[in-house]
Amino acid sequence: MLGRSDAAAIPEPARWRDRIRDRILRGIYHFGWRIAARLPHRLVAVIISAISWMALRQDGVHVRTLRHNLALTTGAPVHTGLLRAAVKSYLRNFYEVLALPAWPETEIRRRVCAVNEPAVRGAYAGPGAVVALPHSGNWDLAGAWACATGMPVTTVAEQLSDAEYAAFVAFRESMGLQVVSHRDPEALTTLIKAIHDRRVVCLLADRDLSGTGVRVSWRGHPITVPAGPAIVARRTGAALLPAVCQFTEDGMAIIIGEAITHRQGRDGLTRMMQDVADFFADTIARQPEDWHMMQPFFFGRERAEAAR
Amino acid sequence: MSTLEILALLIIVMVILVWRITWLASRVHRATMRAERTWSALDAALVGRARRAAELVTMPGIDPATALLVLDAAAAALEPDLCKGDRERAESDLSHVLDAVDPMLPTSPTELASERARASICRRLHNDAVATALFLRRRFTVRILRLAGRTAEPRPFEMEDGSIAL
Amino acid sequence: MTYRRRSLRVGMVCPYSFDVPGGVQNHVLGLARYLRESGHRPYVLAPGELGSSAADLGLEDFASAGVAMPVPYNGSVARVNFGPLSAARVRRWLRNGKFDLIHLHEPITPSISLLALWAAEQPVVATFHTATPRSRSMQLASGVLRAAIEKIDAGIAVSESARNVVIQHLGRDAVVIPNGIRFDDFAGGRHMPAERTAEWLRSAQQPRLVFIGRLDEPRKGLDVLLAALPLIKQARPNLQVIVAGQGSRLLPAGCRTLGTISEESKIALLGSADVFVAPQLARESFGIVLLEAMAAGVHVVASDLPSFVDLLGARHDRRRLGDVFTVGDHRALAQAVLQVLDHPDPMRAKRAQQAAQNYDWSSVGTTVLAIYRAALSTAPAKRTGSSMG
Repeated sequence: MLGRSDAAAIPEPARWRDRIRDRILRGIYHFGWRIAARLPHRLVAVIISAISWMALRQDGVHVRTLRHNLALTTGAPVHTGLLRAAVKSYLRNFYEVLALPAWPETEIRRRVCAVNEPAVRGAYAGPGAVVALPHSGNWDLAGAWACATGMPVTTVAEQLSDAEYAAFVAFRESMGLQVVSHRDPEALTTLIKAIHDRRVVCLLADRDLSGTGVRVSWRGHPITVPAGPAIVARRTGAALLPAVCQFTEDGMAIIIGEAITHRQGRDGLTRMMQDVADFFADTIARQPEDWHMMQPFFFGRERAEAAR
Repeated sequence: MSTLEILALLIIVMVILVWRITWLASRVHRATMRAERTWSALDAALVGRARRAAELVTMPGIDPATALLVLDAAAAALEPDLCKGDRERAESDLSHVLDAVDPMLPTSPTELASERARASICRRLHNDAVATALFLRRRFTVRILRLAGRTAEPRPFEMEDGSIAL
Repeated sequence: MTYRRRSLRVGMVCPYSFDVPGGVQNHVLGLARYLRESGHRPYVLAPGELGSSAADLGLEDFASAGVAMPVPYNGSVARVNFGPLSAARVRRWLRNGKFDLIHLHEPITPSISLLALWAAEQPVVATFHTATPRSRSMQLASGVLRAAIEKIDAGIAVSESARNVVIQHLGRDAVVIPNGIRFDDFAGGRHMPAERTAEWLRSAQQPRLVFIGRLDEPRKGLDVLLAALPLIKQARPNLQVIVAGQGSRLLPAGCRTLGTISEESKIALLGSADVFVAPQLARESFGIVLLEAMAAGVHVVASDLPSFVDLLGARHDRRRLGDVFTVGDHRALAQAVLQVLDHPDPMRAKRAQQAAQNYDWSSVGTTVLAIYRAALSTAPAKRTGSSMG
């Protein structure tokens, strides 16, 4: 659940500006997780406000892409208030990911509430559960919550390279979260095995990085989403549940949808993922600021990094 | 720089580009060939596994229900002209069946175990080769210049091996 | 199927010299010996010289790739082979060897392994040992050396963490096959014949605690053990503490150091021990010395690094094979050691010994052979060397 998808798939960035940004990010990760949880909340809020103000002023490519994605999803032009809230939400996610190792299980359970929880508990107790999520709220926390409430999770990480990130994986694995690399040719087999081992498989399903996704429509616009969640669900007979994480004042809600019907064939896969995308788009539209999609999402924008 | 110098420079650049592209094309070709060869090896290994499983029914002391279960699963896997998805399912089913019957067998089938291990390794090698081939084929230059030619895009073979000690 | 019973000519390349003790070197020798005992012909290429004759070590033949150049790099001195002379030597070896396949170790290092990968025309199997690579060199590898990496027909990793490195940095899959041990050697260690016992062995009447590892490398955790000793000695004043390994270190009284020891002495030492302590601090890619201790039937007390816990089991697991303590915590170490000395569990040691037997070369080597055969079966027809069939 480490998907900082803006840090892209492995091949090294060519531009010097990206290299510097990478260095800074790496530095933040390296030290951030040590101090993040100890910072007083007021200070964190102030830092987040300051950075979001700067980001909006600079209006770089990420912010512009975010605005574009939000506009097409909500179907209306994005006013500054929403954009600012979205950037703050992204930063809040960043902060919480760093702070997670310092939170005890009680804190995690306190912060998270799940809407329609019986759907996933029932599936877990029965045929198994594959949960598909978009890049909304703090999906990392959702995984931690599932592990803390008796449902061990297996997930695919979008980025997993340097020693600095290894600390994240090590902590999450100690919580019972199994992390599979997206570059692992055995990934699908491992996910299927996870269902047989009575684990919940959680996958980010709104952005296809592998190039082997299916075409669906997101609020009338064509996009590609990964077919993985549907494949694993069909192959193992597990229930496919879409879920969206959205922040609340001092915590987070995981809104879980109803299980998607399994359908056969390649078309069936597409229809299943279409149902997932519909749930995502509808739920996100109700609280769009928590959807941190700062990468090209719809066709028609530069897909350079997404090509791999 | 005189026109002659510019021309010479251009030619050098062209030569380098052509060389790089040819090299890339040969890598793509090698990778695609490797994906095909590993598929042949995997196919042979799967057939070997299914045949060896079918031979289990001749094991002395085996009960008819187990024999039927195994024979049926093996026959389904050996069926000719299966499409990829069906073959994946049939081979996975065979793995599950073999796992399930393993404690019921009177003696431990070592030959079958090594066939299963061989199939698993061949599957790993095939999927690895496919991943490399796909990675190369999806490169921008390769797509734009159609360096992969008319060869079909290889796909991984996703099946479950079952519990084998590897 | 005719290839199955055929004896294979395997060219093995070890990037590190056998003059220096090392995990990779031990692995290569162990595997080569197994292959020879199974009727195959392993030919080893490595820098430097071999200590004994090839036949003594169970190799079909040993070829030297010349001397590795010491190059100060990234905080330590790396020994590397590069340049046209080394490349020519490697090519000559490959040409003359007429190998069915070649097995490279740690190919993504500036060494003869990489040169062999570059020059190879036979099927290539590569084993990756490192779990903590130098990320910079790995990043470079994934770009510039991609074509060489694509030549690898089958990848093996000695642990899950090593496999992760291969997946992340090289984009290739690797089958996890752990390091092997010579189980019979270690299991028989307790009954060493009289003439082979050293003076320190003869004094093994008191309970004996053993540490094996580099003395001057903090990562090996000797400091934790030394901090725990006063607590242990308080309850067990007659405990004998023996420390063996490279490096020099001032040790407190009551600690006996043997310095660098030979393999034979290590077997004897483990055979005479009551408790083996592995207090490593940082991520160990593979706890082979743990396995050796288990094979010798010694009670193991180790820090709770993930790879150790994988091997031994969790702290309160009733069926665990050894005891783990919180990494770096000398008090926890002392507690664990005293627990073992006060309430030794011979059943646990027995189970640990049985578990270690799974890592014997006879099991590990069989899987490696299966990989060899699979790699051979996927080779293009003209690449199977000169051997017919």
